[in-house]
Amino acid sequence: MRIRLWGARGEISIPRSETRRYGVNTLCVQVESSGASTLILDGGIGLNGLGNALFAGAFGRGQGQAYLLFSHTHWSHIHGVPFCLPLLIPGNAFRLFGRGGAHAMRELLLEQMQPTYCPVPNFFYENIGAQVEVCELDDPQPLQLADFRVEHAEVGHSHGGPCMAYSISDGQASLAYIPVVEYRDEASRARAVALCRGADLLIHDAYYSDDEYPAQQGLGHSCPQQAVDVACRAGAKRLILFNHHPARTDDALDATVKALSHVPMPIEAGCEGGEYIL
Amino acid sequence: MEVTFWGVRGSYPVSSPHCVRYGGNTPCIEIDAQGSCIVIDAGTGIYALGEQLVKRGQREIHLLISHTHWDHIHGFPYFAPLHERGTRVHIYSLAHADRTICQILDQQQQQPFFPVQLEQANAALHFTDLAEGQQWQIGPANVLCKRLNHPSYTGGFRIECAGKVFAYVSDTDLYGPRLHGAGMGEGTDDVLEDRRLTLQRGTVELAQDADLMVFDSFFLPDEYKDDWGHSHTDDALRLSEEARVRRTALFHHAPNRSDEQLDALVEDCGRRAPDNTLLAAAEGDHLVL
Repeated sequence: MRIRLWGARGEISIPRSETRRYGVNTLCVQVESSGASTLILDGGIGLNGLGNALFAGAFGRGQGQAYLLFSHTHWSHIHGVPFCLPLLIPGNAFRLFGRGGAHAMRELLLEQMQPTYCPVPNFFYENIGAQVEVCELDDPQPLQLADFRVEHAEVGHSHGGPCMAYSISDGQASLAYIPVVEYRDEASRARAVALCRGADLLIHDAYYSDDEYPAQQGLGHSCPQQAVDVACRAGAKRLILFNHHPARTDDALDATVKALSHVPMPIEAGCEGGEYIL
Repeated sequence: MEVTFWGVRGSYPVSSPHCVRYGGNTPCIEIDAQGSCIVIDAGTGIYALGEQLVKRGQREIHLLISHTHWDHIHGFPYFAPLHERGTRVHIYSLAHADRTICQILDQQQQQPFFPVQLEQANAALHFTDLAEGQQWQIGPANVLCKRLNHPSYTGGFRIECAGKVFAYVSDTDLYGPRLHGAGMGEGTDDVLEDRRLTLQRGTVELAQDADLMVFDSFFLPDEYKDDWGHSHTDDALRLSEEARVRRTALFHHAPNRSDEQLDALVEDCGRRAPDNTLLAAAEGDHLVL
């Protein structure tokens, strides 16, 4: 399994010099299976760069197929969708997954395509661009998507709708993805631990710093210490801190990782362009 | 009048090494009109501007929104003055047929898309839906809004203050064959042609004798597509000559436009229009008119 981070920043992309190394694209992770299937986790601004890269291959010829899993529908998780070039190319096929809660996921994704806000032709409709199917994750059973086995779990409700986490395996390696979470109780923590049990790589929300978190409790995010705790309890082999606060500088992220050097597990702060082969 | 660029990129924010010098934030321009604070567009550039305005204690802000495509409003919820008590933010945008600018911005901050609602803002917000051709006063500045040729409802602005003129003409397909705006595409060929010319005349009116004109230069001439609603760099020169603009700022750079390409464009356009001290707008540029 090959994993590439295209966006690791939370909330909004604000390009500036202090964040150049880790990058500011909002959330997007590309996962390629050993059998060369493509799965994408979240569609923040990072999806634009990924789309351009995919366009250079089969997706540019209208022969691409990909799965896109959303954790939820805050802008930083969906705002790259309108400008993802392969979605405009007839012949490509995309299946999008998420849990909409009170609204259907498809309706939520269509909101940002309204002409009031969006200059791009609406490829969710038939006969425009790629074939786009939106699937509601209402069945708790794992999914088999090409050679990916995908487990999913709802890990929080603090965002006005369900917030999903995923565990993805291609039979050889496994990735756990918990980009946004706040553990309100032991039960929610146990669900997350179960989902990432033995993962080769865990990508976990660390929006707040450990110092900031106590004053920000209840706002729906985690801090590095909580990510480490879940990773250790689940026996994950490697941890990537993710969903960085827009104001978090490169130097601050370096310091965060350095402060965790006593933890007996490789830990990094998610960096745009970072690649992992599991 | 003083003009500062906080975001110059079109479509979406870009943070790659190819655009480090000109910058990757989406549109936002600050205008100091003899002490009155005017902000044009709320792309991601408005994030850093907002922090500055709070530090400066700016209590009265006039925000002109050219149109409500994502790249022009995406930064709005993060505009720090919205959360300051005792601050007034006046928001102006060309009227839509079916909803108000307040409703459009409010929708951006609804769950499950955004955690903090517009009604939770501490600042007092005043919304104005502008008529085409509307003129009004902001402190010592006279402002004019004219419709541009771009999907949905898009306005350009002319700001006159203390004998100087600033024009904002982005986003628009100024000389293209199609009409892009909502409600513009229906009618006989004669009606459509008349509308096209009316839009062009309105744009010339915005730009006439401007000391600085900011212009949509999304495309290079050989990239131009007539169904996007954007102009190209040669259009900038053509309008500048037609309206006798003194200085033109190429703006709304395409996400893939590199620093080197923009350097080369400025050199090429500068050669072809020697009377125009043309520039490609870069984040942080500060011009005094």
